[in-house]
Amino acid sequence: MRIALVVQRYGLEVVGGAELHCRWVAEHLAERHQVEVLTTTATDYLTWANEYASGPCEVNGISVRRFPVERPRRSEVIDDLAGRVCFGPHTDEEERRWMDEHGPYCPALLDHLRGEEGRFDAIVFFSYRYWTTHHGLRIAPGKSLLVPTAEHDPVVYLRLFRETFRRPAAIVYNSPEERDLIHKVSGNESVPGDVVGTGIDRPASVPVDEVGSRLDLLGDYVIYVGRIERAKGCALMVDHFLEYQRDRRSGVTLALLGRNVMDLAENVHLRLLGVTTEAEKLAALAGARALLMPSRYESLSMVLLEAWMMRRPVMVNGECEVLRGQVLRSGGGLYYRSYEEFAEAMDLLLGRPELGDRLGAQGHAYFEANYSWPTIMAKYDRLLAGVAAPARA
Amino acid sequence: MDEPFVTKDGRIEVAEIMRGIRDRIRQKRDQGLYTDEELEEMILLKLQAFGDEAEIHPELLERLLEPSHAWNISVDYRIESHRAGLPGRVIVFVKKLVAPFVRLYTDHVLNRQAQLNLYMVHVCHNLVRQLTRLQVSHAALKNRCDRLEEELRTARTGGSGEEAGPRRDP
Repeated sequence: MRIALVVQRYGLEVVGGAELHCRWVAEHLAERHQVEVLTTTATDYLTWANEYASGPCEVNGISVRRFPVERPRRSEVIDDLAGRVCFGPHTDEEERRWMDEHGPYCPALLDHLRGEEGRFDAIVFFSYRYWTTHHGLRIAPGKSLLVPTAEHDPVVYLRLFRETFRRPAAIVYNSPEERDLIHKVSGNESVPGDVVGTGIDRPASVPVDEVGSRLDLLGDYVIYVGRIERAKGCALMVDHFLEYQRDRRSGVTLALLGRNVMDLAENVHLRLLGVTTEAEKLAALAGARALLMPSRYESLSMVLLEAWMMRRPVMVNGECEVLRGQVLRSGGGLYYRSYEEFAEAMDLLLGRPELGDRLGAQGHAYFEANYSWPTIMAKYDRLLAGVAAPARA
Repeated sequence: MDEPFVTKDGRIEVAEIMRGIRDRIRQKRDQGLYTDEELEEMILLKLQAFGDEAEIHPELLERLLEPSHAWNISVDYRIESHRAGLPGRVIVFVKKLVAPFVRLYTDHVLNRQAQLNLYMVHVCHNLVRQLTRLQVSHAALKNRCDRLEEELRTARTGGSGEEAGPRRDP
């Protein structure tokens, strides 16, 4: 099958859950199909500045064709517009303007897709909220598959996305909660779909025994992995953690891995470790007492899957339906909705390591059963065959 | 592992652990000087006192103290005029005609202000809540310190109530 994947950013340097998700899916699909990725030359979603050269290239053996973004994202315009469309009464025209400003505004990609769509049996669009997906889905909806990566935030309720969710031939959901949310906001129950998610690529070697000394992570620690920002719930997590330390006089450390965009000061129990390699990240996860995941808005937390791959339990924000659902289904961790629950859950995971190990083992079994690459690819193949066959006929 | 959250086939039930966590939190609260409900009443009293100080109308205050009060800025109010007859009807007609255009410019500003107000209310309520809890816990700790000092004094004086010198073996 010849498959095009359309995504807002693509590359080894690109940091982002949906983008990594797309790259891994592309690389695994390419084992059986002819895959081409259509994307922009941007690497930063806050500016959409053109960083890569436009035109064809190869990334990890995958054919990639990049197109320049015509209009940068202007924070002075988008912030005001986003506040209006997300939190107040607004018009359809304002939503359309928000979409154009949100970007990446890349007409060249759409022109290419319009001219070349006949070459592909199926087109897979990643992330519903971007300009490339919103407009790209109109070109050949009959053979288009959407991977929405939708979170329960105000954007999903915008009126213009109701059509986006009804348009594709099939939808690849990340979790049952995401599917229910999209059904609720768009009434797209008639569009075929399946809960698929993604697998996790494990590096050839993970230095579990060395990472403690390499990152100076000694003693008991819990870990957070991802962008360190308020939007991900990090402020509340750190506040809870520091209160827990004062309360219990605990010696545990909170290790934060990822780019820090908050004004956080490091201290002996709060470690900012920056961006590490994939192997170091997995090794640090393997040595942690638990992974903390404080985000309220997730469609599928890949780092949760990584923790379970490394047999570690997780502690998630119970206000996020997706994370709470994943934890309850897997039995791979605990959740909290207040400081008191946070402290009790920490007490259990730190005070009873054998319980943490068993929760981690349950998470691992759930990960193996649902998120191994053969399982994921079998689901993709079924959905792709479903959209490609009618389109060919 | 013989525990309530372990099923017969050895699986750990997360929902059961969470139920246990919530029970423990409830028990801890029950063991405190005040129940959670009593604490909430104390907090409400404090908030009402602030409102009285600021001379806010009691009915309005009651509405403002609702945790999810949406800061009613609804524009669906009745448009009317105090004038009777034709002039009144003309004024109402003109007001209705103008209202949507005014809303176009004011709605999003008002909404943003409403969000800010809601945020500030949350911050203030939480501060009062924390302060009340701290006052209660401070009083409990103070009582405990007094009790320990008393016990220490008793131990030192051998129960005589007087400062005694070092004890010597008989």
